[in-house]
Amino acid sequence: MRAEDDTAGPGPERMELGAGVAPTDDEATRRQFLQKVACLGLGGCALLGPVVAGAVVVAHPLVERRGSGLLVRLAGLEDLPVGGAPQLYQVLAEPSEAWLKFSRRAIGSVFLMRTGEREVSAFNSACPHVSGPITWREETRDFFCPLHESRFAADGVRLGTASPSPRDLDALDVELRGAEVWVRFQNFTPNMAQKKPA
Amino acid sequence: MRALFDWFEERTGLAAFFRDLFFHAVPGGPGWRRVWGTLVLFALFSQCVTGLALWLYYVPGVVSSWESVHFIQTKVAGGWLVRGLHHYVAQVMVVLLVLHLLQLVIGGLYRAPREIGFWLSVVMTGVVLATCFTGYILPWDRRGFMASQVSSGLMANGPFVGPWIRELFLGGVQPGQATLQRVMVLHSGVLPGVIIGLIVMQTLVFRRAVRHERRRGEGTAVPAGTGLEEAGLPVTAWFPGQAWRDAAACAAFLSAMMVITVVAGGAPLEAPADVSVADPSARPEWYFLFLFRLLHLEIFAGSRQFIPAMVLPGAAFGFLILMPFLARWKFGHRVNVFAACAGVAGYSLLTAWTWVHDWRDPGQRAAMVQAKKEAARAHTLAVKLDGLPPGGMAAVLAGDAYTQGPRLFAQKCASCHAYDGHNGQGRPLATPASAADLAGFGSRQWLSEFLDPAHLVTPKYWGETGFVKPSEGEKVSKMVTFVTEDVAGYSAVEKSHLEKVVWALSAEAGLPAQAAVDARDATLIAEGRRLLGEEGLACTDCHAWREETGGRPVLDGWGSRQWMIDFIHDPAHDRFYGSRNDRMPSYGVKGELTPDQIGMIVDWLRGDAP
Ligand code: FES
Repeated sequence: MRAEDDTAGPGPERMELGAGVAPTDDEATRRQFLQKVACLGLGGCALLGPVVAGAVVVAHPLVERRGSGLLVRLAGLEDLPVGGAPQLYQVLAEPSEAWLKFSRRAIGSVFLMRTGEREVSAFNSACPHVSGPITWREETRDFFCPLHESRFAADGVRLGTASPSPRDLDALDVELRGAEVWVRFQNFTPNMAQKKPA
Repeated sequence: MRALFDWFEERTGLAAFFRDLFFHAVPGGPGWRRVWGTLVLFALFSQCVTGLALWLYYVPGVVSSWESVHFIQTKVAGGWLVRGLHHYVAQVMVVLLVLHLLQLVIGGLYRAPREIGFWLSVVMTGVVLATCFTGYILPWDRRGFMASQVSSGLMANGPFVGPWIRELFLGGVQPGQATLQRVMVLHSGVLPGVIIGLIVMQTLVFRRAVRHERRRGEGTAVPAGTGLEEAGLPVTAWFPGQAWRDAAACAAFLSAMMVITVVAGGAPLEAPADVSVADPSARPEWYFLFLFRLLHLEIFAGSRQFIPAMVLPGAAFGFLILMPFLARWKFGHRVNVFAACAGVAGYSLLTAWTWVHDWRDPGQRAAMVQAKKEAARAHTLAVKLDGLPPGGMAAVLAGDAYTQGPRLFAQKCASCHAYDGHNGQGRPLATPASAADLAGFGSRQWLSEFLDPAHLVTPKYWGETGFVKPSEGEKVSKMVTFVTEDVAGYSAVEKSHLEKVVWALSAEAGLPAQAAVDARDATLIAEGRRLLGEEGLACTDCHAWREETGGRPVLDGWGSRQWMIDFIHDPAHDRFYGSRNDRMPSYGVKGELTPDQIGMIVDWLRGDAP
């Protein structure tokens, strides 16, 4: 590298620098300037090297692939009366995290509501604000989050003038396979206006 | 702005500190041989940065250490690079420190008034070695596990409090979860703290020494500040004359480390720790190989193990500490230089000796190849599973035929059977094989050699069995007479029949490696099945085959997974050898092998494992 090129001629400098407390001629000033540049360039590269490599590792979560959801069978059509109250279903899966894959367990829950003969809507039960536990209130026929009191209509639209939630309930894709209700379960980044898969 | 700066400066003295740092006098003028100190500092800086990054993902624990390191290595962006840098910089730092010590001794830079600086360098080398040592335990791979086991074992051999020290180090009576936690605390907490403390002291002492020297110059009554020049030593500021050299050295060092890491594909990771078997190929990191060799010297056997493990390193350390005093004597310096060079030479010699010794030992070479295979297997499996159970990789490998099969074969089968001439793990058999070589069992090649008069009676097949060499009162097995007499006299037509029979029987085995060939030759195989009967070679005269029942061993499903499992379970069963069983134990019946274990041996032999 550059270090090697420079070893070729350290002789004269050493003498000059060694002898001169105050370098007078241009040559010495120029040399000193070059040395300062080398300090900055080489020293900066050396110090930044590990820092940049480390920073990439630190930043890994930002580049991690995001799940496109998990297609699960949640219910049979016959379980959901047309126009009935939303029903809460647990989503069971084998979640994985970092190097781990866990055994089957609940990873979230979904409200299912039959809105037509062959129409079902599905909402992730996590509040889009900061993931509070949404419940359905039959008296007022709305979704309610007890944490900061967000309210949502049956179609998931925010209610009230100043909702803490930045977006409507997170609707999930529903697929009807004969009499089976399949849902693409997915979590989204909380507290953002857009639905960003988490 | 200026006022703010002054306000700040008055309270911190930071600018003055940096001015001192940048413009401290470098006695003797700038030069490449002065880059060591900065280089070591830079290496430590790099270790701190990369170490912290790794710390974000590494989880100490018997079911998470290997797994998290593998995750870093394969999944985390840039993880392999950072881990590689951390690994290789650590190794080179050992070299740097040792060379630096050597430089200090040879250059006489340990003499008054620099004794304390020298001592700090000696201690620093020791602490860095300890950090490296704890570092390679952490991945909890074979090497890490064996390092904890062997080193703690050596501690137990120490006088009086040895066993206590061992348990304090392990955090229990065995290497395990608590050990990893302790090692982690040492590696990333205590030892780096000590190193930083040493650097601070080193800096203080160094600056004092420089000032001291300058004052000594003053004593010779020359103008202040130029004293050393008058004494023949040019004095210049560190910045930029020396600083740029230091910077260049650091940049070159880092580039070299990057190149090494990339060329090596990152730091190695062996198969995960396995508490059930000691890995015969386990060796410490190269810088501790000298200890490994010393431990193998006969004079240090038994209760004297603590001598190479503790007394010798302690003595070397003590000698280094005493060097400054020794140097006061007329020939002291020369003795010191000689001792230091002899130490380094001895160290290198012992290290090289271990390498050469291992290289020339076929057993060790085979064990190293096997260890590599198992590491590769663990890696492949972890990548393939894409998510490990909470029991970790060790739990996966405990049920993995490719890992356990050869091991169980070596333990149980290799007392009689060979596998491709070795014991399943690449080592020669303890006693010559006395039963068939089982590599390729079930394949067309194996079977056609078995049915070949030139091969059956060789030791590779039945040559050493009771079927060929019957004990008193027994006859040579009918199968042997069939092959050596009937088959030996076969006509060309019969030979072609035999080939088809071989194909048909081999198809019974249903080896995964032969699936394509078996499918291709379906018609010939069907023909072969027919030829097993009366109109062909009449195997059914003795063997049960399809509707011809009663004979043995049964040829239906011969060599298939289930057939082999049943066979190993009980070879003396009526379906197999019955009373004519030679010496093969009924492993399943006697409970010597569990059904799972038998399954793993069979899967491995058949190449079935996923
Ligand atoms: S979390 Fe639901 S309103 Fe805040």
